[in-house]
Amino acid sequence: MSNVGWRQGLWRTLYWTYERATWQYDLMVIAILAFVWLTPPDWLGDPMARGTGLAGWLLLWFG
Amino acid sequence: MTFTGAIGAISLFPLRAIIRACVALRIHPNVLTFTGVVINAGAAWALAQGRFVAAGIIMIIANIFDFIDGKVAHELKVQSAFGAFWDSTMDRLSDVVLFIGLIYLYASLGRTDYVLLTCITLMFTVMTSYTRARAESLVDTCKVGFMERPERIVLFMIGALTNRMAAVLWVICVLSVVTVADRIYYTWRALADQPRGAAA
Repeated sequence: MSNVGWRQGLWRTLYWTYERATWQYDLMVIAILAFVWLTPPDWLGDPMARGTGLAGWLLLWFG
Repeated sequence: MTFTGAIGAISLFPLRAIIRACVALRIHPNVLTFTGVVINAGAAWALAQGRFVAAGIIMIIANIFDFIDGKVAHELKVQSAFGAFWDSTMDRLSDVVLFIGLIYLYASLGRTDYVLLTCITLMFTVMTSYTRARAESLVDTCKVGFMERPERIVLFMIGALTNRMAAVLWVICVLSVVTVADRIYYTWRALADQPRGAAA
């Protein structure tokens, strides 16, 4: 993707004008869920959860 | 159909039965709205105790009431301007009470960093609603920005049910800040395009 394409993509992600139930919305939801479930709680200093989380499990299984 | 559209359509099946039951019992939608807030206060209490799974389940029940009130009002043909005002006012209460539960929890754990993060998230959550309400008194619509109430509520439930509240708070915080910025920018552009003196 060109530099202009990346910039446009970033702008459209930040300046969100898409409706719900569009592929862009789905993509955003997947990105958010990936962050929530894959980020190890220890990295965020989560006061209620410990360990490496789902990412740790995946690394253990496939690593 | 998209992934999120399919989830929405599947969720509607059980909700239709609840809506039909409320219509048959002629329960006033304003009562449903208020019941949702009271149940959400229970979810906040569970959050404050660190009982995340219980909080998540209570939030699901509370938000069923929140979701169906408008549909029941439509079916019973009792939609009113006050109903819309009552609904959005109670929504703000529901939002704030959940954050207060989390603030209490993190304060009792001595985690001032997460108390601060929750307070900032709460502030931008309120700002998200305020910027749209104020903008729509000046321009036709201001429906920009990703992090609206339904997204916030679903994320809260996911965070509680899977014990990933810290990650959820970060997501809500960052995307709420972006949403507020989007709405300010959108309104600035929309007002700049209007002829002078058109907006009061």
